[in-house]
Amino acid sequence: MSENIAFHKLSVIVTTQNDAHYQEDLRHLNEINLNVAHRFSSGNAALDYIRFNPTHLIVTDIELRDMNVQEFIKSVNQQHRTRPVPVVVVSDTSSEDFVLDSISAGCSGFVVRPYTTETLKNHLVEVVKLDQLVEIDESVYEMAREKISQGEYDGAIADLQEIVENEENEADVYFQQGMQYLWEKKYGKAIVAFKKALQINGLYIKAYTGLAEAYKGKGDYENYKHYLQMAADEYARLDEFEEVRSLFTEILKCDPNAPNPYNTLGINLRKQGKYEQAKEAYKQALDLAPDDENVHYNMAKSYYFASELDAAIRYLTNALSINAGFDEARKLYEKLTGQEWTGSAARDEPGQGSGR
Amino acid sequence: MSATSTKSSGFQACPFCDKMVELDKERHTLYDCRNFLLKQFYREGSPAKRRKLEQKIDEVNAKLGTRSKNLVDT
Repeated sequence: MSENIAFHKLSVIVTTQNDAHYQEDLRHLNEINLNVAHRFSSGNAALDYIRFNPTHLIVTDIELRDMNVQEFIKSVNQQHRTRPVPVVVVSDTSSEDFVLDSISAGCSGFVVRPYTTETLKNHLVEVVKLDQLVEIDESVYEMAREKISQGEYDGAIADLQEIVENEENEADVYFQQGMQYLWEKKYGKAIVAFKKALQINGLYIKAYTGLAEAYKGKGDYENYKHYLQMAADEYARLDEFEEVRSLFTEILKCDPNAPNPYNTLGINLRKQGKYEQAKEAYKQALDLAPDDENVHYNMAKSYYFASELDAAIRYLTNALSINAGFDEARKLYEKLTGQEWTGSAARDEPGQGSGR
Repeated sequence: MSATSTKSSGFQACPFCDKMVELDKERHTLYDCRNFLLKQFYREGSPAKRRKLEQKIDEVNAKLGTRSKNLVDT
């Protein structure tokens, strides 16, 4: 597999303030024909460099002069939001919290010292392959940009629609997978899934912006505004992904024995006023525990705060059908319906319009 | 377990879960009590302490008619 990747064409930088680590990493990187363009001891200097110089890969030690490695990864991702530069962490420590923090920050790979050249190579192959995943769509996007610049708006719109035409937001699907893998402690798979989610999301942002421009070129201002809003929504989703990933990581670190961390995540998100994200978390919580009245009640509360009262009542009905003695659910049910719970309402099964 | 009353500062320990509750300002129903115990249970690494916490949770759960170990959004 690795034979197909032209490592020598990649521009790589190494960040570490530890000379011995640098020598070790450099030796391994040279053995796999990777040419290290620069070494930086300072994270800020590396960030300045990649701002102005095309960089395909960053291999970072955990020792930087001016920031911790997680701050560095976050800064790289912030700087290159729609197409982040992959960052592979080479670490002395493999403590679970440190790995989780690095994944939460958005690393593309995690290698533990001491390591062999083969191990590093395998990780880098995965990282580069991952980075190339959206390249086909990227090339469609580039073609569309070219068409916009030439005034071929209809052709550009057709190309860009192809990128965003999936019924389900693929970025969401990969993001949920990432959370599941994180919980299952399948960290390598979690990294891949999160990266895919962010890459696809970045591509959606570009595609919607391109669609807005194309419609503006055609003089169709309704669609121009529509697609600008879609691009803005995807930007917001990018922020949400980062926030939710970070919160979920904290929950896994702090509550390692929680039977259903999605439920805890949902409560945290609801209390932050993020009702849509809370509902997503509870959907996953209910997949794990479909007969847990507490999770149904929590979902109802999210709907209630989002002013979606019909859905709130449906979930309260579910909760009370499972446990008629659930006082909190009964009180909220009575408040929303103006009626006492009699036990006659049928439980809403999945797929019957409950939004699950 | 005895309740530790420090009423001058407005705090009182819950006799069941030991949480220091700010009287008149903080709601502390059986569901809050259960949440407090569950959060400790999620974080506790010692199997012996986890067993003790589990016993208490089971007692509260019995009063609430549930067997769930998931938090309630209170």
